[in-house]
Amino acid sequence: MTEEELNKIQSSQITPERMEEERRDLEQTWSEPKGIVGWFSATDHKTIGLRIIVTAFIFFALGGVLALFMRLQLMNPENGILGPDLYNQFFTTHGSSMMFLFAVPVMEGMGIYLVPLMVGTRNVAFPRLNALGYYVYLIGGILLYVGLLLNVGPDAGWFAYVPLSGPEYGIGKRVDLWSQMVSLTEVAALIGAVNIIVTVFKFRAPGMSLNRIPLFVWSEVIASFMVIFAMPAVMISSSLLSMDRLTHVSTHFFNQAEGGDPILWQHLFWFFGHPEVYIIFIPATGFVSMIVTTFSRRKTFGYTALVLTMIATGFIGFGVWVHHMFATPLPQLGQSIFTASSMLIVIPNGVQIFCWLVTLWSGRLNIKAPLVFVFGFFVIFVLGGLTGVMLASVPLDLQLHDTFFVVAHLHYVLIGGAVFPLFGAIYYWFPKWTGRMLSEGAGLVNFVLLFIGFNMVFFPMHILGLNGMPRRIYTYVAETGWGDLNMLATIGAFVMGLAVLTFIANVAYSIKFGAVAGENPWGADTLEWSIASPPPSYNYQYIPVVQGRHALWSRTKDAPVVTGLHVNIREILATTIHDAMPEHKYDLQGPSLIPFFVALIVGAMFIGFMFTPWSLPIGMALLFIGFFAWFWSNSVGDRPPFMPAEENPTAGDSMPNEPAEATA
Amino acid sequence: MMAEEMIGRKTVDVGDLPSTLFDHRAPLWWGNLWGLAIETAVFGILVSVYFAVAMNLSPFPPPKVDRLPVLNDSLPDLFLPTITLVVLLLSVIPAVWLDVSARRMDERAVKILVIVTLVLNIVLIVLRAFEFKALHFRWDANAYGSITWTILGMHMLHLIVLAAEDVYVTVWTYARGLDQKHALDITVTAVYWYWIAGTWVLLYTLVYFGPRII
Repeated sequence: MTEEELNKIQSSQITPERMEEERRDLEQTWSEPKGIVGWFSATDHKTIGLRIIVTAFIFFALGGVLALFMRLQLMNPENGILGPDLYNQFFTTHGSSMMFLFAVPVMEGMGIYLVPLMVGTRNVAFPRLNALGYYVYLIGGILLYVGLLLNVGPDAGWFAYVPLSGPEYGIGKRVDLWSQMVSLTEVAALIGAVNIIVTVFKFRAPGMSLNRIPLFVWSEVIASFMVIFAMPAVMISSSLLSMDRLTHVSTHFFNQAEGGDPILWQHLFWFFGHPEVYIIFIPATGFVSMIVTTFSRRKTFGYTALVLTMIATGFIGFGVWVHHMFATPLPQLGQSIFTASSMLIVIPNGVQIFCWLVTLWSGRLNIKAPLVFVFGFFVIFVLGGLTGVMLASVPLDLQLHDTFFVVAHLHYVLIGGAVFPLFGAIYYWFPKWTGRMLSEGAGLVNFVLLFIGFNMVFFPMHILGLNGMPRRIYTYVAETGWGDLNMLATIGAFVMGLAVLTFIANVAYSIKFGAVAGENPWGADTLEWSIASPPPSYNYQYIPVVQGRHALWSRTKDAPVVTGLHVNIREILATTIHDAMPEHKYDLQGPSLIPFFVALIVGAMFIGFMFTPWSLPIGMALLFIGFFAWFWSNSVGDRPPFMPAEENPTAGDSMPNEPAEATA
Repeated sequence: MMAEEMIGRKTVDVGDLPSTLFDHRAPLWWGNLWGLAIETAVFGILVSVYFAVAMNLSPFPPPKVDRLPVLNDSLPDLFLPTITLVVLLLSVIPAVWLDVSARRMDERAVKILVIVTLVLNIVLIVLRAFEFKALHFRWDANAYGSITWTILGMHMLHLIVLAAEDVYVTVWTYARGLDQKHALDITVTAVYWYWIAGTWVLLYTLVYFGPRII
């Protein structure tokens, strides 16, 4: 369909009776099966997205509890609450769960829930794959915590440097648990990334050309591209590590004596590890753009600049990984290049901050909890950015490497840059998810406690680091004089804990008793706010036609809608990549138990690889059976794959099932 | 949206649009493309590991010292690997043919060609299994052995996955005939095939000529 044809719109055939009938049919077609079997067969992006978000928050809470224990241990000099071994397991599990099980999945979960709604479609491109991704991630997360409970929690740090994590020093199965957890969660992340990209490329509502895509959707696409090129590095490096460690395989990738290289591990890990920071941060900037626009009640200032700076951040993010390795013997030229690129990344981030500030400055502010969290983000993230510029300089980095200064920096960047916007986003979209508002008052208490608590924990760490306190030590002697600041940090950690409890209480209360939200409580501009809260299973009864960058603000009263999609099968509209012109209709797969069973096989295969290489061929054979059943059931489900023309109430004269090539 | 708001609204009727389109218009094609981007990144990482190992070892490849006489010139053999490469490149011809036949919905040709490609695919897997011998080192001999085995093994894994997809398409077309959806599946599998052949040209050059040049 060309633009001309899109403009040649027909007069309406929509009548109230037909609308009600179609709505009932859609409800029946798209609703999820009930019961336990139904729970494991769900493929709705909203169901899976919310599950990912809730699961990620559970891992966030667990990681937070571990952090509280670490702070209790460091509260006083020569404290004995955790021994050195337990302390190692705790900080490794804390870092691993925050990075692999919380930050990356929660950002993708938000994308999986919101992207199809924001682009105006009914589900993600590959719904069953989406379900598979969730279960694989869940298995990875459970693996890590089961390990910790069995006292085989990983203990070599979240970046598991060799040789400490190698076969020589990392005895037992501790590091194997870590590397299999990493592989599983990255498989899930990659599945989510492909799903988000294809959904945005092919399933945008008609009229949503590239320059009208909401900024949050852009941020998810860019982060997904980063996932595609960054995650393979950590999957490969953790697989190489487990092959090095596995008896009877015993490769030598990181064994210096046989031509391997421990520094290679650091390169591979950080080639993933630094882009990972932006994989977490870029969706958070998407939240900020949406919240700033809505609560400034004006169009986003510098839309194009914001998109380009996100893309620039994505590219430069791949060129800074060596700044994690300045303490290794690197050529000086290399160090200079990576210093320069690390400082360069400040430019796009600075441009973003200014765009938001201008939007706020020139807007009519509506100061609500989501915006307050964004204010917190500005302060904390800019401070984290400043210490980032400091650490990018090699001489200073050599001095501060592996001290608490780095711990302070990374928490300012990640909590400031990602967790504050995320809380803002939860306050912002919670009404859409549940139909009820979160309490504003409790939201402000939540913010104040989090902001004060956060700065109490992490600001003193800058000073502790400058005073020479190394990270990852389980205790220190009183003569160092670090005791007071550590006590302050520990008190702050509990204030943060209180903030999270306030949040949980707010959610628990508001989900039942919160004010009813309605469709668009904030007066926001993106498509998801045009439908009921919570959205019906089919999202949009009629796919909307988008007329401007701010879909709802620029919508005319008689804006056209799309008709002619089947209501009795899960059919959605595919559009062209640039201009989002209607192109073809596309059948989506329905609910199925198969993804869950395939996830179990994948999990068993990876977990088995900790013990024997034979898990690979056996797992592959089982996967073959699983995927065969998967593909077969895609085609011969309970719904006909294609509707014959005579049963299609809206089809015209031409055969709807013939592809263009066949008719041409 | 309230029902009243919808009444009398203009509509864009998409009822006449087709249900399956090929290539960049098909979501499946894009899903496959980004999947292959992931796998290309995987090979990129493995190639960089290869160079890191090459920098660490002098001479490269290392002499083979686990038997007498010591083999100083331990370059990988070329004969069998080159045969595998040639067979792999030749296999692209029936793959293209299958691709084209599927687009034409030529069921008879598809039924023959899926068998031809499947047989070729299995031949390739068997050849690859013997190819490991040409490296002269086991995976656990040294880092050079580890990375070359991993590159060959990773590529072999793709051949196996491709064979699995072939089996599926073959069983389907013989059991249910050829339909639009599976014609699309066949064209997407063909892209995978081209990618497997294309990456192997580069990886073959690295694994078998890298040691001769570095």
